[in-house]
Amino acid sequence: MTVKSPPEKPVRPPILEKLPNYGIQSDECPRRAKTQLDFIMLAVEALDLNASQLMLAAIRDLGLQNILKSRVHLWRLRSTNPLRKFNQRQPLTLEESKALVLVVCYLCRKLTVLIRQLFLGYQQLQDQQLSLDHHFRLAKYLKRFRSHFRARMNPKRAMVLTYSTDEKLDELALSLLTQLLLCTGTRGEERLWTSLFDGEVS
Amino acid sequence: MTIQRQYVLPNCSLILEGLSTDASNVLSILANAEFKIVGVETSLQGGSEFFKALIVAVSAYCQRLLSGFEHPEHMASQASLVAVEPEAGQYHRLILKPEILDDIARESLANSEGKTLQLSTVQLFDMAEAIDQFYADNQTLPDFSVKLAPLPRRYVRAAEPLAQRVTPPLLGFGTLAVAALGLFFLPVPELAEPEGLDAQNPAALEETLPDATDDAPPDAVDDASPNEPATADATTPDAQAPDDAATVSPITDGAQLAALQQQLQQQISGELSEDATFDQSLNYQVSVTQNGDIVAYDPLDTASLEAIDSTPLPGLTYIPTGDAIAESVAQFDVTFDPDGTVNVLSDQLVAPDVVAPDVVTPDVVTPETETDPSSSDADQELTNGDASDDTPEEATSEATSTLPSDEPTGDAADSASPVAIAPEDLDPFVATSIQDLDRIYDLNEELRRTIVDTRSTDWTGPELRYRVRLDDDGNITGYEADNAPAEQYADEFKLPSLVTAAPTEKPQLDFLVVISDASVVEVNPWDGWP
Repeated sequence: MTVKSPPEKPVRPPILEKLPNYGIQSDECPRRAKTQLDFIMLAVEALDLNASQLMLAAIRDLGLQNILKSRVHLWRLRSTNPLRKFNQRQPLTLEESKALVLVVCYLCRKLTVLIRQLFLGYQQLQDQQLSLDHHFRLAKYLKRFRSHFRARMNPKRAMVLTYSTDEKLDELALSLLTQLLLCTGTRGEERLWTSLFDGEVS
Repeated sequence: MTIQRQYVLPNCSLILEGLSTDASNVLSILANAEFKIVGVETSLQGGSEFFKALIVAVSAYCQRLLSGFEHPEHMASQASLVAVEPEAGQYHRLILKPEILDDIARESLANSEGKTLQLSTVQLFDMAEAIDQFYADNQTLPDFSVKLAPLPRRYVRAAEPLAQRVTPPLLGFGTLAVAALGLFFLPVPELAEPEGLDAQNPAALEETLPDATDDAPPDAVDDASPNEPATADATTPDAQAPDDAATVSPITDGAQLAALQQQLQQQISGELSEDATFDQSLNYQVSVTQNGDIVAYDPLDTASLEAIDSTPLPGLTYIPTGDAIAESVAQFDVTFDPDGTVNVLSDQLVAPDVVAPDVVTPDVVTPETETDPSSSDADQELTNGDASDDTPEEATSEATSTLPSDEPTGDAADSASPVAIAPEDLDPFVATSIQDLDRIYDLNEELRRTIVDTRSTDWTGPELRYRVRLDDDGNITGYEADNAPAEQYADEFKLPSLVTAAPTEKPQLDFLVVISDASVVEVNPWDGWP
């Protein structure tokens, strides 16, 4: 077999160009970014039980298979979160985190309607001074998030310990829901990506 | 021509009005911007300055929601015209300064603080989304940019306030300073030498020291020191000699010296191997304690030093351990002759014993003992027979003949001490022992009676143990003290004078004589009854 063309270079997905590097020197994501990305994905999973399948589909749709190669690879990248029980002591490269940001925002847009409904319900509950249990869908989200969080995070970590009560976890879940809402926006990817490096650049 | 752009979202719509500088239909000059928020009665209106301030603040606040870090752009301050602050739950507060509001809005304000709006998260998000859509629209105000950039590190306030962060190091330094101040006034502890070590070494040295340094010439001392660790310490410094001499007193008692001399002779010849031969006679100076332990030895010439290992001296030396007590020692000259004989001489014995020989020479004593134990006829006969056969004088001369004749002092000392003769011949083992039980029983009884009869007074003192050797005829051929006091009090029981016969080839047997402190005499065969 004769080869007439030079070997194909792995093509860098052009979609990554949307996210600038902000002059970050190292190729590794800061600790807080790893945690935040994993938490956001946890919230997405709490919103939609089928989220892991959706994520794999999103990777295909966005053409990011070169970076996020498989389900296991995705899981290993999420496990770089230092608060996880089975923490992988691996770096999370900028490229990988960019891909994760894109995937998350892609999923968030698909879930826009649900997220807005939840906020509407939240607003009503707050206006009527009712507890969060009174909105069925919101309560389900919070409950699922709590169980996901407790199942996967290392309870010996000091930061995880601060979320030991249901109220604290609900607070975290709602703040993550706000972040998901912001991710649905036109500049969602850029905003999320930028926020990962807040306080990390000089 | 006026251009109007609308960005409509569920909770908020943004309407921009302006002019285009050219025919390209691009809105490049902003005349009026209006936010219409659902649920808020009055819309927010303003010019270019108002619009710019609002979008910067809202955009920055969105970043704050994402990362949790306060951005300076949305914070309320003197310079900022628009501020956004979080409120309880999902509400947020939008604060507009009066300067940027139009006249109508300003008049409607109750106070001069500015206009405050309460927005829900969704309302705020729709505002931000309208702004982002406007930003994405190339046809509208391309000069306006909403920059997104990570918050620089210097704006990130530490999780803990400064006071809390500074407390631990300050506390540490403070404690150190207080401790240092306190310890400064304490005296520096003096180095205390371990007492045990201090007391032990000189004491151990003193035991071996005085006579060696007194008597040995300095040269000999120096020669000995490098090769002989046992004596080296003891003999090196001359300056120590006076001190040591003060603590250790030499043994001066003539009888004791004689006993020691005898014991030393036995000790050395007992240990000397049969085939030991020397090229020349070896001379050593040996220090012996009261109980007969050799505590130090000192070769007197080079040949002696080299051949030290072929002599039994190193093996016999008793090395004091633990808390050694300074004991008095006696000094002897030991000579190993090439033919394997050993001579022990004492310098100190010379003077007192010059007078002695006449008093207690064995030849005088023996006849007396003959007559003394008159209770036993057999014994008398035997001793008589012995006396006629082989005069004690000859026995003595035999004994003394082993001494080198070229040392008159030693000769005198030896012949002077009566006890030196008999025990000298007491070999550790009997060549042919007596086997007959009846005979042993008889001899046992006989010996007991002899001792009981011979002793001058009832004995009060420590328990004495002797090893006495009898031949088949009942003659005492030698004795040996088995403990230290026994040596001392041998004369009390006239034991030296009881020795009546020289050792022969005839069968012999050792007996253990125990004189208890209650003056009870017990006699048994040394090796027990057969």
